[in-house]
Amino acid sequence: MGVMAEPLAHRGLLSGEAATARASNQLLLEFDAWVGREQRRIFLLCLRMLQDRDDADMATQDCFVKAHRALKSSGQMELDDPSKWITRIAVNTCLDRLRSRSWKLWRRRPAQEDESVILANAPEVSPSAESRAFATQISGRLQAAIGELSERQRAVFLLRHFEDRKLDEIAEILGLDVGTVKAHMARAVAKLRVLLRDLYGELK
Amino acid sequence: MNQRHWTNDEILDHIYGVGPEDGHDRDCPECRERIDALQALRKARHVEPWVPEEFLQSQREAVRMRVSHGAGLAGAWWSAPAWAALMVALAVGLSWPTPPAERLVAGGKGAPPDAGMYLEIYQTISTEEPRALAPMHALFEE
Repeated sequence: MGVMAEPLAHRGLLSGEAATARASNQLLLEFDAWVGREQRRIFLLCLRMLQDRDDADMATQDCFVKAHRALKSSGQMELDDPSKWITRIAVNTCLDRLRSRSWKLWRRRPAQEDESVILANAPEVSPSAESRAFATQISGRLQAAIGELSERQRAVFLLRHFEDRKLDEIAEILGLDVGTVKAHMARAVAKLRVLLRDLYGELK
Repeated sequence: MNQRHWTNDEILDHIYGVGPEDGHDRDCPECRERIDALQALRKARHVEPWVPEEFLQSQREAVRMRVSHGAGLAGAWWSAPAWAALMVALAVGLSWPTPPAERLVAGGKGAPPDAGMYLEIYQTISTEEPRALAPMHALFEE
């Protein structure tokens, strides 16, 4: 799998004025610390997109390697929002992996029940054992249902649900129109509503 | 103000940014409260998978190595063509017609000397019984 550099100049990710803007050479200097700050969030995003820990690990590494390469070749450019930029790299890396995965016919996803078991076995931090068990159950079901979404729907939904991003922000990250993002989101929510009808009833 | 309260489906759609855009959520305190309650519940049910610090540490280490050696980049582009070239070379090597085995020509390289060959032929002809029978005779001898 090739690792291509992600261009810095893309739909507002580059700017000289934003408050969070940072010169790419400055970011390069503090690259290690930046990786440390963003790594967990990016890994979780990749994990939710790819639903495979090893794949998510490799994708996360690829993201930061691509980012480093882009920063190195960009010179003195101003990055509007490094966090949004690395998120965009992560989503695109995951979409590439999902696309190439669809060609690997020998690679089978575990059955939904197995996925739920795997996710339910993952330890997590939560206050009480009872609420933790319930939350884990919901989380497992949600994760399995997310796996049923198309690649774009999945990306749009994850960025909203887990990162609380606004639709225009998601559009910027994915390089899509807001209308397209809305359409993907509406389809994703409708699909999940059907798949999680029983849980959704409990939430209401 | 729109008097009709939003349904639960509409509230959920609103949370994900695709709900009705009639401004009812701003005008109706009751629906606003339902939206806030569902948001709070959604966040409470949110489970963050646990990621061990050692795992993150080794991942950072791997990134550092790939960045400093460029292995991830270099390896990625050359590996596929290199393997393909190796496979082609192997296939060509295996299917290449092998030269026919060197024929034994009297006097040629690898042929037994003429004297030895003639002696062997003479012994075969001059023996009364086939050599293969001799061991069988031995079985009946006292």
